[in-house]
Amino acid sequence: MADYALELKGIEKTYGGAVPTKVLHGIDLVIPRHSFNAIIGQSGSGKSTLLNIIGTLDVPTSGEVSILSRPTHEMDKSALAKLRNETIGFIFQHHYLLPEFTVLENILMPHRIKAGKVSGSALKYANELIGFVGLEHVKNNLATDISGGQQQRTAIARALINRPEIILADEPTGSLDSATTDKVYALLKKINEQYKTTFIVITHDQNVAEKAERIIELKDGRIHLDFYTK
Amino acid sequence: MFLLRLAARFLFSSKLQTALIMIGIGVGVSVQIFIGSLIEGLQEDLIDSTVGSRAHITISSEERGGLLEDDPSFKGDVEAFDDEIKVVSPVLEGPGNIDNDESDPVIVRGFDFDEANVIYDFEDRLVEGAMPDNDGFIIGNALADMLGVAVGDSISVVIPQVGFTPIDVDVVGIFDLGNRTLNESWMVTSLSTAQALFENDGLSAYEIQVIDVFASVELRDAMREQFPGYRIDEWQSENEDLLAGLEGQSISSLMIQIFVMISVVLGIASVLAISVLQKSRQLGILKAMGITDRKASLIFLFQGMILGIFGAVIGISLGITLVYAFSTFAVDASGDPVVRVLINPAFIAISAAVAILASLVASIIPARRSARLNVIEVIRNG
Repeated sequence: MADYALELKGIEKTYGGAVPTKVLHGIDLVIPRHSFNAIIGQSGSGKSTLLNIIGTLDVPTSGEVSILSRPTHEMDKSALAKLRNETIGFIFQHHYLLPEFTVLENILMPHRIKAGKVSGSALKYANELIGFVGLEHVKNNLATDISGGQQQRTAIARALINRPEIILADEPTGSLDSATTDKVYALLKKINEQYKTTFIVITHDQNVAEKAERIIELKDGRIHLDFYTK
Repeated sequence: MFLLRLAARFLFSSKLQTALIMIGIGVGVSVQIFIGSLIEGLQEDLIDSTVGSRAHITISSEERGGLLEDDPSFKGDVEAFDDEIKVVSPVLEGPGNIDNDESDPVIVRGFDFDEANVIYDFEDRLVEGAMPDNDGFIIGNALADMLGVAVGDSISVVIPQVGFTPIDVDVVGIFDLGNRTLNESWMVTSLSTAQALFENDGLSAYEIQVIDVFASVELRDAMREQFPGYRIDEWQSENEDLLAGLEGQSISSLMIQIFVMISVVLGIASVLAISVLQKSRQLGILKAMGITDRKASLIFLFQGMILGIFGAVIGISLGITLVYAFSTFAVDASGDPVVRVLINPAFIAISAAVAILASLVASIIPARRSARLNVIEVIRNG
């Protein structure tokens, strides 16, 4: 079993075009399993780009990403898709729920992608997650017929359905008010403790970041600070 | 199955757009079915009225105006020659003139009615009187009108081949073969009466009908080989204009159908292309959640298939309704349809299959676009 959830070696990213822009300058990073990590930094510091590279949604210009000791640069697109499906849960700033489907169906979507059809145990787990994030009374509503906080909690439950090893969250509360933000973070912490899921969360909120075990600050595409809070 | 459900859900989430494109495909398919059925009906009518009541192949003497021997064993050989041959009817014919001021020309034709009725259907086409039994004649309605004769009257005819003394013959019936030339000129009697009249026991020709009228050329060639020493003709070489016309009609009908299908394809392709844009957020997140590019493109192929199937069903119902309405309401004075429209299940099935196939083809471009869609673009642009 892998010691690390994630290992980054010399990650560089340059966006092309007439004037190439270098966004990441040689990032080396190791994330242990079951840890809760916050990435902070000003906008334009490369946080989102780094998270997308970690999530295999984007490819680095150079450097290597290993997820659970599996080097991703050796995998083709469909192997990466399978890896994302089975080991990574995404929570974005926008919930990106499918508006054509209900809350329950949205939560089951990664499972359907993986298995094709819904097994009894998956349905049971989905209902457990729905209880966990407190959406029992709206689970058969269309994703568009619930509040912003409920949508984000749906997205969190969806990220968990395939019991991923890693959850990547990019400003998961960016579009929520502060009361809801606190609830969502409490929920993420609870998941981290209960399901032993590794978290990497981007945030610009200092209060939020301080709840993480480890804070990594990016500045101009480099790791500026990297420290444990306790 | 999951992808099919995704495709269906995406489609039915924009109901109006989906309904419009399905109706679009449906109208295309119905036009195709209607035009196709109309043209096919028209052509069958034309072929039927052209060759339905005439000989498809005739065997006559090589010598112009010469006669054949009335030989039952030869007739039997011809009948047995091929399964395509429906009937072999001996005929003796010759020119005559009505003994009046104009000396109106007529053709006297003697038949064996058991066989001739298969070709000409005299019995059903009698408008007055009865079939000739002994030496009576039946004549066309146009000739009867022209001469002012009715059933029971007699006509004086001169048969130049045997002399210039007018011979009186009895009119026992009047027919309408649906062809003015024949109705004006034919005087029809039994073979034995004709042989007596022409003072001859030979035949002018054997007239043959075949089952598949378009098999006549092939059959003629085979018969020429088998029965040398005879002149053997068939109807198609004498009706090249008609056949060219039919061909032209078929081609123009096909062209209409092809262009209708092209516009259907363009319609579907543009709607699905827009749909890829509309659903790019959803596709992006599905890809982030691990759907493969191949599966993402399948969603749009399935959408094309669903549109095609529903469009085809709408089109078939609409097309059959149109065909039915046309044959019910577009009628002539006697209440018969102007054109007998033909509903051909095989043709309808082909139209439906073409529509579904076209919809699939139309969804290839959107499907490929969806496969190429980059998650990062979607995530970054919110």
